[in-house]
Amino acid sequence: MNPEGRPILSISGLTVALPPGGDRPFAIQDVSLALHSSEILCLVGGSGSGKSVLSSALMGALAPGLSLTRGEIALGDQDLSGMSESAWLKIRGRRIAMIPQEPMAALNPSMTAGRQIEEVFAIHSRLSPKARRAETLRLIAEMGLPDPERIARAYPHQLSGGQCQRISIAMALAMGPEVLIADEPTTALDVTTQAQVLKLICALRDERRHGVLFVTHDLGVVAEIADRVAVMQKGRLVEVGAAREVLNAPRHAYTQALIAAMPRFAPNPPRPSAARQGETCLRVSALTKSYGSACVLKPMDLCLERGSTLAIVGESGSGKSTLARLLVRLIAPSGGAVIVNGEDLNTLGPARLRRARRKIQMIFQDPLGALNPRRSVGAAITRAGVLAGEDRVSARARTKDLLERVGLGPGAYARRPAHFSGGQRQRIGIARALAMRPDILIADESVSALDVAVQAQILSLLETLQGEFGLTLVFITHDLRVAAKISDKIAVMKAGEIVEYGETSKVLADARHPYTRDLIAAAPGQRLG
Amino acid sequence: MTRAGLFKRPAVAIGVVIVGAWVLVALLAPWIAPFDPLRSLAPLALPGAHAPGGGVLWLGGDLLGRDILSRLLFGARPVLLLSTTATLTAYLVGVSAGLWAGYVGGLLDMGLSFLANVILSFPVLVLYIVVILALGASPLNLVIAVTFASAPSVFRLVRTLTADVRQRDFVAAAVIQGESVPRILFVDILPNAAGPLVVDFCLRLGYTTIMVGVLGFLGLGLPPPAPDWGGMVNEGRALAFAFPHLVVFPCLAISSLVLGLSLLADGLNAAPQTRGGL
Repeated sequence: MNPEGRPILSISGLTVALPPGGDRPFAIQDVSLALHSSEILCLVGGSGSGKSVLSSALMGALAPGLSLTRGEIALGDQDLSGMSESAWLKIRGRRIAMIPQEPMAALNPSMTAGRQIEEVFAIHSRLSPKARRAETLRLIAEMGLPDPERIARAYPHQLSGGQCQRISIAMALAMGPEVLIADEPTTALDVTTQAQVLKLICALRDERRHGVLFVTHDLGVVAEIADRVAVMQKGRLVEVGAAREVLNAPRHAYTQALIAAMPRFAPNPPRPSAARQGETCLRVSALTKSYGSACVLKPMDLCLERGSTLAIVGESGSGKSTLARLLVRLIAPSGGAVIVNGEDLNTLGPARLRRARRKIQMIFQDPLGALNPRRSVGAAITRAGVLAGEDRVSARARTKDLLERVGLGPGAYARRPAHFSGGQRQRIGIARALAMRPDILIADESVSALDVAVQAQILSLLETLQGEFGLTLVFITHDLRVAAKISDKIAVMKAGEIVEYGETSKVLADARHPYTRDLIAAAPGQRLG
Repeated sequence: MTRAGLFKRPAVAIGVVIVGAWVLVALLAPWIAPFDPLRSLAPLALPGAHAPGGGVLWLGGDLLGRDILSRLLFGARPVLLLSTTATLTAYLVGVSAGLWAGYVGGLLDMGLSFLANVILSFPVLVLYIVVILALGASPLNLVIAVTFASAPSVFRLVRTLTADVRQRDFVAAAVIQGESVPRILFVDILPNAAGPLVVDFCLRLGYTTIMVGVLGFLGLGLPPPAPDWGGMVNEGRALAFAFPHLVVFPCLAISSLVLGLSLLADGLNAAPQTRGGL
C-alpha cells in the first residue's frame, strides 16, 4: 500500500483492436494504469467491458485475432509490449502469474495436485526433484490447507472447489511473482468458500508483498479486499481511485449506476400489498428425493401464500435445484406431495398434470440454454400461449404485449435467442413463462449469470410483474444479498435440509442456525454503507 | 461461417460441382446420351470408334456392343435414386427410433439399442447379401436391405444426440409448459441435433452408393439389361485386361460420385455447428 513509490507494473495507453465487424472497434482503448507492490487493485466492470482482455494482455496471452495496437506494458524497467513468445516464457509464471476463474477446469484432472505444483518448479527452476517436493508441501501448507501430504496426493476431483482454488493459487505463487493477476477467482465458489479464499489472497499479499490485479464484477468483493479500484466500461477506464473514495463517492455515472445496482444486505420493508393473507397457493408436504441410498432432499414442508415471495438460499450441493425440479415435477419425488391450487401434482394423470402444471412455471439459470436456439422468440412465446389454451391469433397478440411488458420492443418477435444479450434473454424467458398465465413462478438462480446492473433490472421487473399478475414467487439463489432484496420469507438449505425458515427481516437480523450466521457473515460487501 | 462462406471452401465447391453434375446428368440422360443405352452397336469397340450408323462411341462399346457413355449417363439414374431413397428410409427408421429411445430411455432404449447392436455385429456386406438373397434382387428389396443394415447406426447416432439435447433447459421448459412428446422430439430436439446428422447423411449417401455398386458387381443389383454401374464392372471383369475401358469408366463414375459426396460431408463437418447462429 504505497501508491507513491515506483509501480511494479505500469500500463500506458494500452489499446487492443477487435476484428472488424464487432460492436465496437476496440476491445480496450487507451487504458493507463499502475500497480504497486503489496497493493490489491480491483478491476471492475460488466461483461464485455474488456477487463478479461486487459488481464490476458498483461499475461501476453491475447485470444487469437486480437493484438496490441498501441501502448506499453512495463514490468519494472522491462517493456513487455511487443516481446517475443520465448521472452514471454521467462516472464509468465515467473514474474507475472495468474489465478484462473474456474479452478476445477484449470487443473489437469489426470495429475495429482502435488505433481501440478511441482511441474511449475520443474519448468521455471533448477531445483532437484526432492527440493521441488519439499517446496510443494511447504506451499500447500502456506495456502492454509490441512494435511499437505494427503492434499498433494489427491487428484482435483477429490478436492473441493475451494481446495482446488488454493492449489491454483499455490501454482501461481510458486515462483514468487511480483504481479498476481486474479481473473474472477472466486466467482465459481460458494459464498463461505469465497470469503476464505479472499482472506487468503489478502494474507498472502501482506506476507509476500506482491501486487494483485483482481478482476471482478462483484462490488461486494471489491469492498472486502481492494486498496484501489479501476472501473472499466466498454473498453475504457472510466474511474480509478482509492477503494474507499470510489465506493463511497463515485464520480463517474457508470460507477454510480454499478454501486446503486449492487444488491445490499438490507431486507426489504415488509410489503403490505403483496401477500393476500391466508390463501395458500403452493403447499409442499414431506417432499423427499433420494437416488438409491443417497438422500438429496430430506422430507420438507413449505407453505406459500398467494402473491408472496419465498427465497430458498443454499450453496452448491444443498439440494435447492433438486427442489426446484420437484416443484414443477420435472423429476418424480421419492415421497411427499406438491400441492398447487389444491391439487397434488404427484397423483395426477398425464392430462390433468399437464393442466395443473400450467399454473406453476419456471425461469431457468442459463437464459440461453432455456430457449430453443432454432426458434424465433415470438414463436416460442406464442406456442406457450397456445399451450395455455389460447387460439393462435390472440396468443400472437398477447406475445407482442408480453414482449412489451418485459421491456423488449416488438422487433424482438422474429429474432432468434442468439441475437439478444443475457439480460434480454432472461426477459424472454420470463415472457414465455408468463404466457402460460401461471400462478406460481419458480426462478432457479435466474439472475446469477447476469451482471449486477442487469440483475437489478431483472429483479425489479420480477417485482413489478408480481404485483401486476398476482404471482407467487419461489426464488432460488446462492446469493443471500439477492434473497434479502426480493423475498418476504427465506428458507436456508444445507445438505438437503431446511435449516432455517422465517420472515426475511427476522432471519437476517436474528439468525438462529449457525450455518445461516456463517452465510450472513460471509456475504461480501457489508462494509459498504 | 455463413452459408455463402461455406461454398467458398474449395473442397465443398468441388463436392457441390461433382454431385450437382451427376444429378444433372441423371435428370437429362435421355437428351444428352448419344445412343439408346440398350441398343447393340459395335461389340467391344474401343473408345473413340465410329458407330456403324454414324456417331462416335466416345467411351467405347461393351460386350454386347452397347455405348458405354450412354449406359453410364443412364446408369446415374438408378444409382442416385436408389442410394437416396435407401438412405432416406434408413434415416426415417433410424431417426424415429433414435428420438424415442433417446428421449424416453429406460427399457425401450435398452431393447432398441440391443437390437441395433445385434444387427451391427454382422459385417454390412453379409447383411446386404443375406437380405437380397432372401428377398430377391429388385430395387425395392435393395432399399429394404440398405435400410436394414444402415438404420441401426443412424439410430445410435440419433439416440446419443437426443439424450444430450434432452438435458438442456429448453426441453425442460417445453415439458413444464405441457408440450406434447412428438412436438418436443421434432420441434425442440431434432433441429438442434441436425448438424451432425446432415454430415452423416452425406457420408452415408456415399457408402450406400458404393454398396449399390458392390451389389451390382455381385449380380445382386438391378436385373439386366438395365444400365447399372456396378453391373457394368461385373460384365467387363473377365475381359478387363484386354479391354480396360469396360471397367475403368464405370469405376470412375462410382468413385467420382462417392468423392463428391465425401467432400460435401467434409465441408459441412468443418462448418461450425449451428447451435445459435445462422
